[in-house]
Amino acid sequence: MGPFGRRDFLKVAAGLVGVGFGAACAPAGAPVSAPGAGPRRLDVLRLDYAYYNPVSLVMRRKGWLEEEFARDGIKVEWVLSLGSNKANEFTASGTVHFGSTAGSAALLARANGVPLKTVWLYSQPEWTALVTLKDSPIRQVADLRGRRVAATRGTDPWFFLLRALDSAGLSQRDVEIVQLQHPDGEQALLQGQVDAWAGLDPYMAHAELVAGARLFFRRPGWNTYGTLNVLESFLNQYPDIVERVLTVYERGRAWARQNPEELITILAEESKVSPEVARKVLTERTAFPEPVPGDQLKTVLREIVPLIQKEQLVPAGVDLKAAIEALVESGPARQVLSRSASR
Amino acid sequence: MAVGDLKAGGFQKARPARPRKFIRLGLGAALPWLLPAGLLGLWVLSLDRGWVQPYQLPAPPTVVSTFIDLLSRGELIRHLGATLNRLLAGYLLGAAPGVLLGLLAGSSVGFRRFLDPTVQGLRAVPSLAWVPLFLLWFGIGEQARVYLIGLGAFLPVYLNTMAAVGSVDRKLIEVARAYGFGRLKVLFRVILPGSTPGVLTGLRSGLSLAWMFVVAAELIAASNGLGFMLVEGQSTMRPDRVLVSLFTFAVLGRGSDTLLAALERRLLVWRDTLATTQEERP
Amino acid sequence: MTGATIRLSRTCVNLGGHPVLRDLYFEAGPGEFVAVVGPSGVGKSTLLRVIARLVEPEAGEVVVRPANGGLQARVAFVFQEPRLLPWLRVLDNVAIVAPAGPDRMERARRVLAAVGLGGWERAWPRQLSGGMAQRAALARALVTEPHVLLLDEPFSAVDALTRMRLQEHVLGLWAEGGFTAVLVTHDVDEAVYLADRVYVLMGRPATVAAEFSVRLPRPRLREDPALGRLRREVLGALGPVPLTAGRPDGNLLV
Repeated sequence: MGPFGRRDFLKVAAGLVGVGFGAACAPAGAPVSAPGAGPRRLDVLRLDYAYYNPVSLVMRRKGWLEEEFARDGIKVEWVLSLGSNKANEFTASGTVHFGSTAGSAALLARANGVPLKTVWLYSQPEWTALVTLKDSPIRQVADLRGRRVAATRGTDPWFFLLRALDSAGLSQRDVEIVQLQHPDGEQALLQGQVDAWAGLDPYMAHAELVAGARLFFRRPGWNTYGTLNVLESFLNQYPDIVERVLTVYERGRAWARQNPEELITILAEESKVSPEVARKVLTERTAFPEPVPGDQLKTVLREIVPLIQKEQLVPAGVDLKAAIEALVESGPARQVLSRSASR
Repeated sequence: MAVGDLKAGGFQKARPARPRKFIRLGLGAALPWLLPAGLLGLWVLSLDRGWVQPYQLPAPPTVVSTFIDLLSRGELIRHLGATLNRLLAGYLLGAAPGVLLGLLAGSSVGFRRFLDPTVQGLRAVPSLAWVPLFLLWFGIGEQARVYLIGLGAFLPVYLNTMAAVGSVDRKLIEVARAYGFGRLKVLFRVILPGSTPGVLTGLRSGLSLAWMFVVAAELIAASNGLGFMLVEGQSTMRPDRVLVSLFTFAVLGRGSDTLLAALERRLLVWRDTLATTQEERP
Repeated sequence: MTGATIRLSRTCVNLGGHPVLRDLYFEAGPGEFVAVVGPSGVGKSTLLRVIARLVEPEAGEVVVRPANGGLQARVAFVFQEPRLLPWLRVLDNVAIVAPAGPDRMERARRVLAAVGLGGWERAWPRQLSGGMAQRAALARALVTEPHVLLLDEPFSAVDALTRMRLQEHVLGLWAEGGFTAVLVTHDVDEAVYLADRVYVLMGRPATVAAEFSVRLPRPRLREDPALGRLRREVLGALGPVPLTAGRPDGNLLV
């Protein structure tokens, strides 16, 4: 046995284990960020932007947020979300402070334990439908049995697909759902690698105009709004920042309603689609209604509760109704609107 | 201290009795488990102290209950089966030609000059760069995935086999020729058995690469499998599923390697190395 | 078993372009025990390989003819290292070179017993000591019932006691078998003790520098003074002998 022999090694290893176990069994200390303590100063504000959240594109272009927070010395960063699933991941991990998802995706995240708060409705879209190629034999949802459908799990089109299947008496098990992010899903459909696609605008409109794709199943009434979400801890720590961001979002909403042509141009340029596609999306299938998340959101979310339970998308025993209540946070939006109304 | 403890040249420490041997045996058996136990403790600690949130890293009991749930619903078996199927198909598809071509390239200079430069070129491509290429060429179906896994398995098997053939002891080949072995007999009775150690190393290496490729292949455009389960868990905010997938991967990967290692030990029982002598001594 | 006649005349052998053996003359009669000595690297092993047809000569004649008039003489080679195939058990190592037939395994067993390895048939080569492994190599050579047994410094890698035992073994097997034996060794004692004739190879390229006959009857005594005298003669042929205390030996050149 040399200078560092076997016995010494065993002692070190035993020590490691001891530390691990002992520390774990030790009484819990105070959590890292106590609610009562003053929040650390925010250096960087990170938001996501998405082609399915046109107002975010406007805000990013115009630099209004950078303007707003310049005087506090807070830097603003933008991260592209390619779908609700990504936006949720970014929000949960802290990669962004504000994430853009569909209402259904926000509820899914909340029910699975992510402490999200929906603080704003950025649009009321009919942004999803079931799409197939022009001369495909698929005419209705029941024809999807045994077929391959491209969809992005954790997003609104996926929820839409599940709801559609449910309405035709089918479930997830009856089709082969191929996991592809939205832009890849469109490609797969156009290349004939899948039989159908749970589409999302603007890719969906693009497929329609470029390849004559058919939206064979539409339900505008099933939309769950475009929701802007933050983590509960962020809202608690920086309520003023949240309100300031929402103020800028309101400015964007107003601008979008007043400048439809410029909005089309911005969407087309950002998402690299033609102006015709952008026009189709914005004029036919997007609206910018009252942005305060309240009963209207809760009502549509309650409609999908049975589906979530049936498809076992959350652990058994989760109270979805309570999750909806905990998710929807109308306070900040109301403040912002009342202030702008009183201006 | 008794008189008997004094020996020529100095004192001798009073020796403790039998317990030391038992402690050594017990600690020896526990040795592989120490580090995982420590990590587990660290895991529990970081949740407890709020260093990570449960929706980022679920607690061990949650992961266990999700695992049991998936197992009882048959879902885990279904995904596991899909992954193992792909792995096996791809592995065989890649390893078999790997051994054959490796043998040929190792024993024939001409064949090596013909094939090897191309293979070395392929080897230079970083493995995961193949994924988008294969999806482009073969689409998003099962074919692309199996070919991808096959490619991953092929390279190390081929390279190791070729090297193993080249390193067969010249002296043994000379003995065989001295006793009148023809070329074929030399190949089958000397070169082949002599390269078995290297071939088996290559097969193990190929298996671990096949595992890596099966994950990569299932991350994109899949609808079943353990890798798919990982992405699914990620997309639907179910980190517990992600962890179940990871752990299952780890267990299967390790398990399959252990099986191969056991096979290696049986086939190479004749080897005169440190490893074989270590095993003979308790 | 019967022996073979080996005759090399004016044989020239090149290795890697360089001449190793030049104008070599070598002869061994059926059943004779011939030793070849010389400095390291002179080409003794090459000579054996020429006889075994592992190396082809550039020029000259190599004849290996069985005494009982067969066409092809069977030549068996024992190398300096045992060179057993490590993945075969001892019995299989011997059996693999044995003539095909229903009694192949039985022959192998018998030969292993003859070299004193009975009971070790199922052992792996790595489990054998150096001396045992060399005996197994010997058994492997003999199971082919060769006309000629070539031994290339077969005992140089074992200790002195084992070497003596192995020498006795070989003598016994040779006496029983009647094959022609050619032993290459750098140990002059070994050469004069075992052989009927001793060739001395010298020079670069090598030729036969001297040839000695050992006309002593067997069994020989290692301490026999006649062997000692012969030994000094052979050593003398190899070059100047180092001084012993006070008495320089003569430098005999034949």
